[in-house]
This record gives sequence, structure tokens and C-alpha cells, in this order.
Amino acid sequence: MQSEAVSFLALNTEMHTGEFTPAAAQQPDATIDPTVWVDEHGDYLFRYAVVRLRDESAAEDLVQETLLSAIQSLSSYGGRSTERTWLTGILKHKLIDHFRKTSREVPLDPADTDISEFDPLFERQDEFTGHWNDTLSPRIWKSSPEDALQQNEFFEVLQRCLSKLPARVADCFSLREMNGLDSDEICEVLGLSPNNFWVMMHRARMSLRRCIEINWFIKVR
Amino acid sequence: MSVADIKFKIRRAVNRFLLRRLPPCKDLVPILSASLDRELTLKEKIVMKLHLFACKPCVRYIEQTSFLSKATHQLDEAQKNEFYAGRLSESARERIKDLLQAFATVAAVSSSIILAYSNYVIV
Repeated sequence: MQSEAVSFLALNTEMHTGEFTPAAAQQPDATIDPTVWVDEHGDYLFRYAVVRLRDESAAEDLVQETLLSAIQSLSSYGGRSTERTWLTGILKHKLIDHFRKTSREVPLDPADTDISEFDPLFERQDEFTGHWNDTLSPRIWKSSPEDALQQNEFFEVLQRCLSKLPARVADCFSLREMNGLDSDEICEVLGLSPNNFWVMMHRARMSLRRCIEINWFIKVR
Repeated sequence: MSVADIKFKIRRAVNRFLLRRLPPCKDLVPILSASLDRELTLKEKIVMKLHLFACKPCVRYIEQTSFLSKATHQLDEAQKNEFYAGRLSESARERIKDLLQAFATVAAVSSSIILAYSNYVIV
């Protein structure tokens, strides 16, 4: 056993010449160069992180951590998926860990689950108490939603609307809608009760719908 | 009165009848939101369908909120598109490359030391 190990190791190092070869080049297919990852996948990973973190420097840090972690687990990458898929998988884990950690550090703010700001939307003078106020109800959208999805400017507006939400609320919404996590998973990651989750989703949707309405669909452009 | 007028008046009367007896929009909107995340109970489904029959603003609400869901998912897709603005800054790019280089070198040095040592281990 020991001699097998030694001869395997000998195959992979230049023991006689004493040359140090980069760890990556010691793999049987020595074509993986970590610095190339930065050029090929860096921007993609950055964009993936920045839409979820809404903060460029936090996104950069996470990309850095992801690539460093990737070097360390290079032996576990068996080439089963593309490099990008594998790296994105690592990034996803780092993101979840990041959310878990920051949620633990900051206690839940009661304001995050406060939906009283929407009460005025349902105030009326007539007998239909609790129904949408006529002027504050959802408007008829003049431009087509499908057309909006074709335009980069619309996504910039959506991104800005997301940034206006309190951090935990926005994280809850994006973990649900972008990552497709279910309510139990999100509760665990963000330290929420099920009720917190429903209220935050409701709040996020009410605010975002109104925000994209004002800033895109009824705006004169 | 034309047939259209009569139909309109009947529809409006039905709507008012329903809206007086059903939970108001303020109570329904959280259910509409929840319908995007979980299965509704039978009671919730019935209440929702009846309310939506009678209330146009709530119909707009759920349509627009469903669209929001789709758009957010596409935001995720859009950022995968090369045309979406957003790149690693030059300084971050360089810093990460340097770190990766340094790490790879350290890893190579330490693994070579371990390998060198292991050759001297007595079986």
C-alpha cells in the first residue's frame, strides 16, 4: 500500500529535478488553470452574485471565495458538468452560507414584517370597507409586460426596486423567485418563522408591483 | 335599455352582492400572494375565485404580481446574458488572479513538501 502510494506520487512530481509544479498541473489532464477561470467565468459569477446581493463589493468578495474554494476542491471536480456549472454550484453554496451567517448576526427587525404601510390602499369612504381604494388600486398597464422583458432598462428598474426593500425582505424574495428555494428552506437560511416568510413575500410583492408600475408601466417615456 | 346595458347592470349587481359577503380585498391580497408559493386550501380557492369574479383591481393585482415573478426569474436569466451591464472591476480581477496564483503556489510547495517527506516514511 505504501509503495503504491509512493510510486503514484512519484509519477506526479519532478522528485529528481526538485521542480515545483503548480498543484493544478499535477492532475492527469493538466489543462485547468485557475487564473483562466477569472477571465472565462469571473464576470458571469459576479453578475450572478450581484443580482442577489445587490452590492458590488460583496459580490466581488464572494466570487473570490468561490474561486479559492474551487482550487481547494479541484480533485472533487470530475468533469461531470461544465466548469461554469461547477463553479456556479460552489457560488450558490457560498451565497446560502453568506445569508445564513448574516441572518444570525442581525436579529429580525420587526419593521420587516410590518405591513401597516399598505393600510391606506384599502381605505374608502363608502360601505365597501377594506376594498381597494379607487385611485390607489392596481392600474391598467399601458405598455405590454411582454415587451418590457425584452428591454435591459426594465431589468435595471426592477433591480433598483429590489434595492429599495429592506435587506431581509429582498433576500427572502430573491431566494424564492431567483433560486427557487421553497418556504422551509428560506426559513432555515434566513432564520424566519413560516409566518414571517408569508408576510415578507406579501410585502415584497406589494412594494415591487407598485414600484415597477410607477417607474415603468405608467411612466411616460 | 339595450341588452348590453342590462347585462352590465346584472353583472354589477352580482359583483356588489358578492363583494358585500366575501372577505374584502385587504384580506384577499395576502392569499393571492400565497397562491404563488403554496397550494391554497379549498376554502381559500373558492373565496379567491368568487372574489376575482367580482373585483377587477384584484384580477389586475394577481396578473401583475405573477408577471413580477416571471420578470424576477428572467432578471436571473438576463444577468447571465453578456449584454447585461456588470463586470468584475479591473482591481478585483487582478486581486483575485494574484490570490489564485499565490494559493496555487503555496499548495504546490506544501504538497511537494508532504510528498518529499512521505518518501522517507518507513513502511
